[in-house]
Amino acid sequence: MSNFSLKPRRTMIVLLLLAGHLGLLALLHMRSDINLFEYFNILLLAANLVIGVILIFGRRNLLIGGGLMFLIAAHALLGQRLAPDSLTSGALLMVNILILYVGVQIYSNLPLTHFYLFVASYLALFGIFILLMENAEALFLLFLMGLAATARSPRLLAYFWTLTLSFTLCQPYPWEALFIFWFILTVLFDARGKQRSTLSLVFLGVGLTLVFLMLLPVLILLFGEDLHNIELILREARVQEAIIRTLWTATAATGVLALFCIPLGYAISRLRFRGRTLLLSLIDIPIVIPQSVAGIMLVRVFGRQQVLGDLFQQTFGIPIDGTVIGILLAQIFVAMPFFLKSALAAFDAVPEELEVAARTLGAPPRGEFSRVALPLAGRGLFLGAILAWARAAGEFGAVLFIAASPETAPIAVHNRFNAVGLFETTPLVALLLLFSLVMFFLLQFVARTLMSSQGRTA
Amino acid sequence: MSAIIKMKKLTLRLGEFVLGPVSLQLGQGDYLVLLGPSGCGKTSLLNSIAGVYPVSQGMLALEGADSSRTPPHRRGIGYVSQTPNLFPHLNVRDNIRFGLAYLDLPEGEIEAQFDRIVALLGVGHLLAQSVSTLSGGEARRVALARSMVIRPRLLLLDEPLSMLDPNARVQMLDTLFMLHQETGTTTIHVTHDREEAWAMDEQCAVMLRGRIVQQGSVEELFRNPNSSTVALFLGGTNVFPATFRTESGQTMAELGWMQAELSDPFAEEEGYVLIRPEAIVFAKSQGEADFIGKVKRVSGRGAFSIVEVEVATGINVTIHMPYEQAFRIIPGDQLPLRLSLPLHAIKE
Repeated sequence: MSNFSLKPRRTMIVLLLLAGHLGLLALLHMRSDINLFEYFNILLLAANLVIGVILIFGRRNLLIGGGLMFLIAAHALLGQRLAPDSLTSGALLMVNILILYVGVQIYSNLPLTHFYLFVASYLALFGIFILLMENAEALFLLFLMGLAATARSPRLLAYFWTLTLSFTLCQPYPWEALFIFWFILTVLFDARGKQRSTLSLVFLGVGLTLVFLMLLPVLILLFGEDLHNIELILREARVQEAIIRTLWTATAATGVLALFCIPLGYAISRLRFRGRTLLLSLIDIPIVIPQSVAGIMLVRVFGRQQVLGDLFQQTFGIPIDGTVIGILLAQIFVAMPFFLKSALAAFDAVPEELEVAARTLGAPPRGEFSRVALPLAGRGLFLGAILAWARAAGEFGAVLFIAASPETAPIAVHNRFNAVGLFETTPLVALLLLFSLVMFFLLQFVARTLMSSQGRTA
Repeated sequence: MSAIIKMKKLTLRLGEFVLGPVSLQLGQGDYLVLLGPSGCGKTSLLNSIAGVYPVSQGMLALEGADSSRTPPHRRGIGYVSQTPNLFPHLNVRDNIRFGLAYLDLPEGEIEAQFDRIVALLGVGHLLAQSVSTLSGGEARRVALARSMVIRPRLLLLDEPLSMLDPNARVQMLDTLFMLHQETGTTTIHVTHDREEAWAMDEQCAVMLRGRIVQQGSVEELFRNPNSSTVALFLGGTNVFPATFRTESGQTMAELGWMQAELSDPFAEEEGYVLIRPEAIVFAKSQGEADFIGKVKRVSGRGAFSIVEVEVATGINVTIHMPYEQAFRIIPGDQLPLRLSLPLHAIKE
């Protein structure tokens, strides 16, 4: 490392440092009340002198040597003011030497941006733990060591920072915040594609942040609730009944929808007729109108003393409103667009040429539908059924008006909240949340993995 | 024995496009190559024969019975479209077996038929595979097997060689030959590629703008195109307007830059002549030359070269000559040229 042209400058820098040290030593020595701590500092400064001499004649790494001299001197002077006791001050010096070493390594081996990130991180940590928080020197040391360990890779550094921010600024939900941050980071770093640019990554990051702000309540409720409370709630007969009723009514509603929406979806997908566009937009009506409005409309038509409601009661002996028939009706009404639109999209995705091929091979329309269109649309139909099922099971507004009892799960939450308030309701909410999520992911998993082997397209 | 398929003034309206009227008749075991440029209505014609498009007017009879209203699955026609359209949810075996469920034959015969077609088309080693793993040529073979296994009385092939690499094209041509020899299935083979028609060397019909304009053997079409549009489509780039003069049974054509005898007497006064690019050769001397051409461009095509010469302002003649004769020619040369065959006249 004996670069000859550097020699005069190098010697000058070290001489300046040495002069400074001598000045400091003289300053300390002149003071009359020297304690043990200051003697230690004098020793340190003397050691530094030796380092300086070695730097001049030994041609060691100027950055490390010079930095070391500077650090030791600074700690000798400021250590007492920064740290509460000499032990912490010593530890701080050791960690700073580590930081110095890592910084020099990054400066000489990696792109400059890494070095700037490193320095900025150091300053930010200093700001958070020394300036913002009181008595946090020990934490500062801990996180500095984390910084030293992760600074070589921007990716690790990003993970380190999310950890730091989660546990300092995101109290009292550090684990939830950490989970969200790490998920976003992982997605961002894993994102691939021809259009992978800073812009598209920023779009992704911003979008994911919003998505997770919406997911945060879910996470907090799921992680925050005591399992014991959930178990207690689950043992209540009323809750059990409501859940079971929800399960079977939603399933029955999905079955009815399948019976109508699969044929209708196929027909709309394959036929062109006047009013087709109008029909396609009419499908969306149940999504557009408020659920309470939907509920009252249903009551107006199918309720007691209304034309169709009375007709039904006279024919079958039971009324629609206030019974499971009403629940089913409301669920079918709100879930219909989800099933029908999925069916439509699923059949649209089946090329008509394949059906033509089936016809020319001798298949009558029935065979063509059951052997080509239905199997190829199967996965999309199943996904549509899952969506419709979830929508039906979760329906509250419309059900409330036409059949507030017998209770379904969403109505049970509402009744409990009105009767006993927020904190008594959260275990039930957590339970339902857990239940719906498990159900939804399970069905999605079935649709995406098990059925994908069958619906593989060329 | 009546014709397998008979079309009489068949017309098809598809929005703006009108196909036909088309009249066509094929007997048992015939193989017809339907040749036409892209967009001339070849595929629409196949679709209406298969029953995918309804016939607007005219008659379509299959084995003597009017079939213009028969739904596609009762027509007994095998239709291999331009894309193989294999069923992605079924493997190769189940794709080929798809139509067998609707075949009214004893079990043993169905299996025998399946085995025979699979062996003929050489797809036995693919049976267990998923169709997404097949190459273009393999997928085409499987689609062919799927249509042949139902013993169609008529096989429709839409561009069976398109999008295949040169080796796969040669193999597919051999397969089509062999398949026709072995099964004797009446076939309509649609293509836009005249080389493909030459290679099949069967009956050929030329279709232009929704109509069949000429039908005959490939040789006949090649030698005797009945109009300048057919001649141009079939690759005769040298089609020129001419006036004719007949004296004592011999017709002379006057092209302005050349006078030449016709092969046969020709009654009209005005029309066109077709000069085959390979029927022009070097003249030994200026006196023997029919015309002089100034070379504009020489390009190689393997064994022969294409030489483009200007014979008068704005009039270019294309000549095909053996490579060893053409390689010394450079643009700007003045070549004495003569015709090695008499000219052929076309009315319109």
